[in-house]
Order: sequence, then C-alpha cells, then structure tokens
Amino acid sequence: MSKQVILTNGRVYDPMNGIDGELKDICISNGKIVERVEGSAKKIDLKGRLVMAGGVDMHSHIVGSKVGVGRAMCPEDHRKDPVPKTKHTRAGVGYTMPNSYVIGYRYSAMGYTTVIEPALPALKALGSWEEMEDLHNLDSGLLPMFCNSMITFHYVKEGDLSGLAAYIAWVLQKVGGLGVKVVNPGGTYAWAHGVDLRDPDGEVPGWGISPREITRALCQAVESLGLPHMMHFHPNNLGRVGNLETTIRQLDAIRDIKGHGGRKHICHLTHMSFETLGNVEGAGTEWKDIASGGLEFAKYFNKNKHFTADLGQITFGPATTMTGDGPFEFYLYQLTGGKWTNIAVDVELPGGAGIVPYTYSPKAAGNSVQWTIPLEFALNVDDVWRCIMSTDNPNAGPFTKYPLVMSWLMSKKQRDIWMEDMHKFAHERSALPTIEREWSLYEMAISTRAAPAKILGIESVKGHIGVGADADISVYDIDPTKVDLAKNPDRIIKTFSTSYLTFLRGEQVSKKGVVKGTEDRKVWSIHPELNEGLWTRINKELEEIMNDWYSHSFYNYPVPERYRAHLEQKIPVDSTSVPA
Amino acid sequence: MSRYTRAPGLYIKDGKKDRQIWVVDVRKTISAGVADRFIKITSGSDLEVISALRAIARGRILEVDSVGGLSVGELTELVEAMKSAKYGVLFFGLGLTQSKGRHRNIDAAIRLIQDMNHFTKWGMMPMRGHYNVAGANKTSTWQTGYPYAVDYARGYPRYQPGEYTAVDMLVRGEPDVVLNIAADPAAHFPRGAVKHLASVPVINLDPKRNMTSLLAKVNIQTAIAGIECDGAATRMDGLPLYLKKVVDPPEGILPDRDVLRMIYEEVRRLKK
Repeated sequence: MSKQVILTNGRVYDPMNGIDGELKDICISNGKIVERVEGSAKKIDLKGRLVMAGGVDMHSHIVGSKVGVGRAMCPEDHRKDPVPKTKHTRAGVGYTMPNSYVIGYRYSAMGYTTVIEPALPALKALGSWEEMEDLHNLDSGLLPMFCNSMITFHYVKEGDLSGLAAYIAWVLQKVGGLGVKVVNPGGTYAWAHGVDLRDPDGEVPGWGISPREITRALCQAVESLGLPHMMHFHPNNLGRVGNLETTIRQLDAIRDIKGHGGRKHICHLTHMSFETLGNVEGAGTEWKDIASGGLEFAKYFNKNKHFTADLGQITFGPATTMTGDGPFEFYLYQLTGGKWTNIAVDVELPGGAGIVPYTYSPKAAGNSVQWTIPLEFALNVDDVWRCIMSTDNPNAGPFTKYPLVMSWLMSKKQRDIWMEDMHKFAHERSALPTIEREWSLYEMAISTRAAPAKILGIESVKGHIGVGADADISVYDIDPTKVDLAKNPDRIIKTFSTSYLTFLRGEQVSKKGVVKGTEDRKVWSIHPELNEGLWTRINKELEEIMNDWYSHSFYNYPVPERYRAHLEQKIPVDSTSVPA
Repeated sequence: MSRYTRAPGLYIKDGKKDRQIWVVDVRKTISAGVADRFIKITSGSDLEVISALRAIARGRILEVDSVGGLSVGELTELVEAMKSAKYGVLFFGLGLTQSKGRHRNIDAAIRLIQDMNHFTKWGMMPMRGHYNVAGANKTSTWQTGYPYAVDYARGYPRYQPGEYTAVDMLVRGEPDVVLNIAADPAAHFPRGAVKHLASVPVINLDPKRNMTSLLAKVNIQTAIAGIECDGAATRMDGLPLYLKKVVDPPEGILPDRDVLRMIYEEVRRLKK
C-alpha cells in the first residue's frame, strides 16, 4: 500500500492552527503531515466531510494493575459484550473494561489516536509495559503516582525539594513515565493507618506533614524539573458533598507557584465533576444536601488561570470506578454494598488503589446533580483551551460514551430531553436548565484534540494537522455546513461514534467502524536529565531507601530496555539546573 | 514466612513477638506447627465457619453451641482478634477453593474481609501454589478480559470455571490435542483427566522432564527463566519482577516465548 495519501476537500477544524471549518486538502507522507507529496499517492476525496486531528484523551484508565483487577473481578461485565475476531482484528470483550486490543479498536473506530493512562503505580511499571505490548492502535503514555509514596514524604519532611525533584526524574526515566500524577496526596497513605484524612491541612500519620505541603512540593518539583505536563491532580476529599470548598482551598494553595519558562498553568485538575460538589446554602454535607458547584467553580476557573481541568462527565448506566484513592473507593463500597477491591502497594501506595463497580442513575438524586456539574462548568468557562472533555473512563462511564457527552455539550435540545425524566434535584439544585450555550465544533476540536495535546506537552506533533504533525486524523461522515447539529443531537452521537476514516501515524486504522489492527504506535515518556551531582546523589539515596523499605532490590526497579525500546518515544528534558 | 512474615520491618520491630500468625485448617500442617495459634475446624465446614464469623462480627447471637467444630466462644475470640489487629491479611490456599462450597467459600471470605475493614485494615491474598500463576492470570486478563478458564471456540473469549477449566475439559473428553506449558498435569490432575490426556497428542514445553513428558507425543525442552533466559514473573501480591539471565542455555534450547512464536508462525503459514 502506498505510504502517501492526499485527503482532498475536507472541512477542517484545526484550532491549533486557527482553522475553523475551511475546505482543505491534507497530504500525508511517511506518517507525517506534509506540505505536498512527491511521487505517487492515494487520493481520497472527502467531499466536504468533517476533518479533525485524531482525538487525544488525556485521562482514561486503560492499562495497569487496577484495570486488570477490575476486569478479573467483574466477568459479568464483559459477558454482555463479546467481540469476535475479524480478518484484521483480534477477539475480546467490551463493555466498561474491554481487553487491551478492543480498547484500541474502539478508540480507533471513534477517531481517537492518543490515550494516556493517568495512574501508574511506578513499582508495577514492568507489568504495564508488558500490557502495552497488546494495546494496539493507540499512541499512549503513563503517569506514575508520587502522592502517597513514603519516599515523597521523606523528601517533603526534610524540605529537600532537589531530592524530591530528583526522585521524580529518576522514576520517570527508569519506568518511562510521561508526567506526575497526584491522587489524594497523603490521604490514601493515612487510610492505611486507619485515619480518614480528608482535610488538606490535616496531618499525615507519623510524618508531621500535610496534604497541602505534599501537593505544593510536588507541584514545585514538576516546575523545577521543567516537565512539559504539569502536575496532574486528583485532590483530597473527592466525591463528598460540599467538597467544592476543599478543592478551591487546594487550588488556592498552589496558586503562587511559578510555572517554568513563564507558563501560566501549573496544575491539571482531573475529573472535576467529583471535586466540585456544592451543597444547599445553610445545609450540611449529607447526600440530601447536594447541589451543583459547577457554575461557582466556573467562576473560580475564569478568575484563576493557574490550572486546567477535565470534566469526568457522568454518562449514566454502568461504570467501574477505579482510582489510587483507596479510601474513596471504600466509602463508595459502603454506599453500594457490592463488589469492592483494594490493591495496596506498600511504600508507594500503602492505602491502595480501589475498585467498585457502579451504575449511575438519572433517577438518583446525587447522580443527577453530579451529572449537571461538569456541564454547568463547561458551558460557563471562558477558555475552552483549559477545559477537556472526559469521562475518567471507566469511572464516570466508558469512553465509548464520549459521543453522548459531546451531544450534551453541543445541544441544549439534547440536555432538555435528558432532563425530562431526571430526578427533580437536577432541576432544583443546578443552573443547567437555564444555560443556553452550545459548544461549536471548533470548541469541540479544542477540547478533544488541541488542548489536551497542549496540556500534555506533545502539541508539536499531536492534536493538530499542521505540517510536521503526526498524521493522526479523523474524518467524520457529515458535512457540517449542511446540518444543524444542535438541533439534531442524535446526529452528533451517530457522527462521533463511528468515524468515516481514522488515520494513526499515516496508516488508515478504521473506515466506517471497520477497524484494522496496527502495532505501529508509540508510548510517550519524559526523560529529565539531571546534573551529575544530583544524579549520583539520588541513585545513592534511593538505593539505601529501597534496600531498607522495599521487598525487592533497587536494581530490579527499572523497566529493562527490552520491554520499552521498540515502543518508547522519549522526550528529553534539560533539568540540569535543579541544584544538587 | 521467614522472609516476609517473621522478618522485622519499619513498623514491626520483632516479627516473632509483634506479629501473630494464626492457621486455620482441617489438620495440623507444618505451617500450623510454626504458627502462634492453630485452629482446627471440621472438614468441609469452611462456609459455615466464615458465615458464623461474619455474624458474630456484626453482633448477632448464634443459636447453636458450635460451628464447624469450634465453640461460639472460640469463634468470638477469633473475631475479636481479627478486629483488634492493626493490619491483618487472610492468606487462603487451594483447600478453600476445592472443598465443599467452592467459590462460595471465597465469596464468603471476601465478605468477611470487607466487613473487617469497618473495624480495621484487612486484606486477603490467594496462595497460588505454583510459580508465576499470578502472571498467567494477569496476562490472560488483559488479553481476554478473564483470568483463566477461557474458551475461544466461538471466535471470542468466554469464561466459565468448571466448564472451560483444564480438568473439566479433559474429564469431558473434549480436547483432541493439548499444548502444555510449564505445568505437570499428568502428575497433578485427577485420574479421569489424565486418562483423556493420555489418549490425545500432547505437546509439552518444559525445561525439565516431568510426568507429562512420559505421555507427551512431542517434548520440547525450553530455557529456564531467570537462569538461562530473562523474563518477567509476577509475585503473588501482583508485583512484577524482572528475571535476569545468568548462564546460556544448552545449545539449541530456546525460551518458551521463542518456541511459541515459531509454532505460531508455522501454524499461520500452514493456514494460508
């Protein structure tokens, strides 16, 4: 097959290059977007169909031990959705936790090409790299967690920011991570000691430090290293009524931290729908007191520019919650009384990640209000470049529900239809019914392509279709000049559920939902280079700590090259300015 | 036990004094001999005992004097000990999964541990017996969605322990060929299963000669991971471990993965 392709007459939405629905031709050569192709090329006339860069999902749980345990503990989940093999794809299962192959295929079919796993226990990275071997059809990346690690606590307690930064750099290099994930800092650890620590200013048992100090130190360390992706933050006190207050308190606590190279954003707040639960004025923090905090949070967001956020939109129906926030999952299990697993990883995540299957119902008071939160928020932000669509797959719903989320964002009519039978709290405790705004296709392209690529720091080649970008392209079977999508929400769902064409690195991986499996993809990682003094020091210190605290050797920690070299796309970062 | 359970750590300074090992079994085992307490229960009474423990933990009054050979007093003592531990772990072995009640025993044990977390920290871990069973489960799970007992006959994975598990398939006489890797079913499976195994061609991959080698049609010697070739194994608690190569394998001996790859490629070639 020809490695060169020309897509003609596409209706292009490419916000990174300021292109808002222009008719354009796109040339692909050797996996890249080029100005023009030399020699023979396959020509495809798109006849005015919608064209965007391949979708970039910056927060979706697709790999690692919690996904594996989630799959294993819920065979009933997959049984409803068997996926037969085809000539070009392997067999598997779907539903809320598909097997590795099917994850890639279904993203391809929707026009997504890059998906980041946002919670890696670094100690188990070798297992994740083995799993990545079978995660086809997607460029990817892993975000290791540093938030409940005793090594982090050690450096925070000592006030040794260089040591903390060096620890992060060492782990990112040795296990191939793309950034720093922070989940319920200190809180998960505290729970291992039987302490319910949800106050950002409380004390982590035995350490004399607070979640606030841990968060600040990690954020500062990320900026001192100059990592492209800022601290990826899941705050304390998640999923509780009235937590809007603690979330804002935690964001305020890092507002003064200076971004490296003058960048404005130093934090990405993830799945905000779980963190901005308000309560009725004067009421308590029981579930009956819940109110949407989305609008209020949008006001805070518009005023405070130091962070970005993704939605974590609830989609209703079955989901599987999984997070490094072990105590939250225990709390949720107490609400459901059903299945629950906790996976403790000593030293690095003693309280453990947790997993609880959950079904969101529009008839439930709490669920319905929580559904309104991210919509209220997204429809009131003044800068969509900081606002990312997500469902925290599979926590608030599986990624296959993205088209439904898009329809809510793009169509007031669709929101009204869904609210008709919803619990009355959704009407009474939220401003959503009065909000008229509808996202445009351009805004959708920002939120699902350009902005996440930028926030991840891979915008030179991902999230756009300018010359030099990777040829990750999705074409949708619609001429947006001929259909009023806001008036036809079903058409939104149909359009974005199945791309007309999806290209990954120049290779056509899906056509009208018929997927072709490919192993030609990359796993992105960051390699911060430290100065020699600090590198020597951190190796020595980590060896001592690990030999003392871990049940396996320091030398057995890194993921060997053999498991990585053929997949890894390393981004070097000069961090030599961090003092030893 | 000496490496992980009795060893001193950051919080437990004296593993012998500060950490308790209680063994529950139907007979006094070697583990029971080195434990702090041995609690003997009646064979086949696992489900009743676990259910009684849960009831007592929830403050219910039992209307019997004893359950599974243990008096209500002894059961209560066990519950109190569990509740007052700082951090407890329930290790369970094949006995619990294979005795009367089978997976219901595990369901009950899971529920017991969930209940215990309302009082203190408790976890549980299956003792898998053989090396890297956890790794095989993990790999199967990301590749098929299911940890084991996977059937591909319809072109997609289906899961049903008791139906697609090796012993059950063999007892029903279903397979007409068996590819056996790093296991010794001839030595460990029940007679009915071995009988069928002996009647079909078996391809056996193992570094060493075993009982299955004797009835296999094809024996392929493979390199030993962690000695003659590198590889990754998963520890019982889910920790992946990289195994280094120490010496070269004997000439012509390849790692399992290479042998399997060659078989796969040859099958693909023949199918074309």
